[in-house]
Amino acid sequence: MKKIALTLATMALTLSSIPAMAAETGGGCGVGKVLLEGQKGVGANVGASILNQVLLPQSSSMTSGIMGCDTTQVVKNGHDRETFATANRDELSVEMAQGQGNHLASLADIMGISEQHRADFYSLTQKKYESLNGSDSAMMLGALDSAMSSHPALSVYVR
Amino acid sequence: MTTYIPLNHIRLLLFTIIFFCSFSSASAEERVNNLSEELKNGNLDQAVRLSQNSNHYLAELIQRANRLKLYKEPTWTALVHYKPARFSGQISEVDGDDFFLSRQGKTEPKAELEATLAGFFSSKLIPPNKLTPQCRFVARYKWLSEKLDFDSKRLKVETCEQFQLYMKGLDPESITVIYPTAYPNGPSSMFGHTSLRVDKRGHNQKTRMLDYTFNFAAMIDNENSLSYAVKGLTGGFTGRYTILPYYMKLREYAQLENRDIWEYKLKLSESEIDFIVRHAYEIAPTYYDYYFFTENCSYHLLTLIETAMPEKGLSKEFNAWVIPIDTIKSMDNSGILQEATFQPSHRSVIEYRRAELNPMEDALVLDMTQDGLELHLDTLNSLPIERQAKVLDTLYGYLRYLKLKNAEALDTKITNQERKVLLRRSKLKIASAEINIPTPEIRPENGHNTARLELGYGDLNHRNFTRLGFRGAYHDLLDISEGYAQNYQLEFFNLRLRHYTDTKQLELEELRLIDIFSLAPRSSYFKDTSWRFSTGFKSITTEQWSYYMDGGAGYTKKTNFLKNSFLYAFIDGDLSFSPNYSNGHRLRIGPKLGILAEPTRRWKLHLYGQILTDTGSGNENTTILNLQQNIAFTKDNALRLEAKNSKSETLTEETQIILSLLHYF
Repeated sequence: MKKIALTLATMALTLSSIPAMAAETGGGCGVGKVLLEGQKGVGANVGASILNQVLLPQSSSMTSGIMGCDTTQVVKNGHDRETFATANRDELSVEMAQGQGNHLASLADIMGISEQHRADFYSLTQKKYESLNGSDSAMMLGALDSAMSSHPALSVYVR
Repeated sequence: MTTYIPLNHIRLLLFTIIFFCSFSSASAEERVNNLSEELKNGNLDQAVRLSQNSNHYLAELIQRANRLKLYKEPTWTALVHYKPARFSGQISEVDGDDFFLSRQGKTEPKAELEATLAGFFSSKLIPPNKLTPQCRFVARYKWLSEKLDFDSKRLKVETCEQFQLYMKGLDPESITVIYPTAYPNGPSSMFGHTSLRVDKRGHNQKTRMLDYTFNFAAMIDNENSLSYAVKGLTGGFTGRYTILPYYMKLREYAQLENRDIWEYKLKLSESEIDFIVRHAYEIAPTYYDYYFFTENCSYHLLTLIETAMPEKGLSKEFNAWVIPIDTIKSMDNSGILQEATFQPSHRSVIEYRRAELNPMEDALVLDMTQDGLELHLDTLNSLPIERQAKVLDTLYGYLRYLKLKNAEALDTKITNQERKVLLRRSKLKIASAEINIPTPEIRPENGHNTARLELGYGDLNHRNFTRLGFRGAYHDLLDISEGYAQNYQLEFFNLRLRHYTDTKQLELEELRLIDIFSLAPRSSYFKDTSWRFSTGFKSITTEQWSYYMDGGAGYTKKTNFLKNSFLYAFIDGDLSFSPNYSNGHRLRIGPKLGILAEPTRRWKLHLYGQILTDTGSGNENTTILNLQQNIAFTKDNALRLEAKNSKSETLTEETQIILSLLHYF
């Protein structure tokens, strides 16, 4: 029964050109590759534009050059804050303005800020919103470091 | 059994020849040297052959493995993804050559196991990721070393640096299945999707976005829809696992596509988690051919989880199609689902925030959206700080929604208008309250099953008939909403036959191949258009079928009439092809008004009236009035009553009443 159904459905699909099922498009190994390159120092900005691209279905070029790439290498022991900040700049900006949020908590986690200092961190990023949200994410982190270094509790977390 | 005897004879013969050859031309020592040479070069099938009758440790391992019939064990079957082949034997679903160490590995579990054992002695770096077999096949190694109790003095244990980094990075505490719900307006995700998240030790619900997710996805280049459909159905795309931080998937589902997400923590032991993560490592570099219906994202997530519990047969019950929610149900039936967490989509969050505003604040958000912030600052400033924060948070969320909805491909950057809102918001110096959207009472896997059988009895102008129906998938507007979207219908292969009592003839009533109906309510925030489309075959006389496409579009309003209902107005029409019509086709079009209501959790009704004007001969009008009701007495059993009247100027008036029993399975 189901086999006949499948054949007929195939016809229908072809006729109506509606792809039916969960085909997730989007970045494949290509992403991992570029993510890696970004982390190896080609520059966080490259990573950023690619990270953004990943969000968009049907962006081609992701799939080219897939052979020989190994997505398991995307996994790193700990995220570095540059990549994270670049990839989540918009969300971080919003949550800084709102004084809380999961992205901000994750950034705090990456920076090793302990639970007891999180509230300080959130209110600092809210207070310094304007200076933190300049032209790019590298600036954001630079400004964050300088804002934190003059904070009594948070200065210890500046690298 | 009989087929084995000749085979054994041949083997014996081969052994004799090999033995003879080696006896006459090579000493035992030389043979072991040759074996080492083959291992070094990665010629594993040859190494297996040479090891026979040698005193090499490999020979001993192969002998023990075969005595234990390890190649027949469910774990081995799951690890190499063997499925019964079409006629006889087995075939692995994996399509990348790099996944097999034996040349016959795709179809020969035993050869693959022997070559794998040989591979563990080989230091040859193999493609695609230039690792030794021990470091490439870390799950196979773990399982075989436990089964055969490898002697580390005779088989060198390698330190696999790259794998250790991977494990350190994942440091798994648990594994969670991610289920973004169906998404009506994205054809590629109409049924939903599933992926796997490896939950790192030390993360909490807030920092889960730093975890890694494993997705099985088709690698799709720009395709036109026709070749997309054809390739998707015939396995023309390559399916691969991608590994990405969860924050990227969250953004994709919750922000860009506005899909709510369910996260199911799996009930797994530490060693099961370890095994799944190991197998993910060995399967990720290779590929499968991707089939939209069968070997899709959800299916290969099951086959990955299955390696840790092959006896549960998670992927077994699927043959013609795999729907993501069915795979969740399958895991539920196997008892491996634990607590579920609900992650609201961006749009759900806006709706939640909006519900907290009073009408004046709500209007202010819309005004500021339209005119910018500056014009309404006085009104805003007149509110208490906390209320200002709520208004600005709703405003920002809404602006972002509009921005993403209309965003050209790459451009997701914060706009100037958004920036002004955020700057203003930061000056309030208070933190937003946590979003606390309650988890829906009924989890998706507790909704009705997706296939449906129908047995009905009806009356058409005083002729009685019996109706038999089968629907492949998945949910229609009248099916009980629990676990599904209330206002979204997606049906796939709906066949109805009828048998008239007087003529004793079995006829095709209709075969609907696809039927989508999206009733998206329009509000002052979300200006959605509702639409429907269906196509298939219908009988027009006892002998004649027509192929039809029908559909329409319009607006829907949510009302509180009968508790919870959707009122809609559509321009609707149908196009049918049949030799019965002059010109071979008929196109009708006209207005349609309807209401879908849910007076109780188990009772739904749908009433509509429509006028269809034939655009061809004589502009004849047909008026249709239809009332359908559905009462579920259990989750998977329901009673449906349909009364329909259809009147036109030349044809006789038709009145039809059908009472059906529905069973979901």
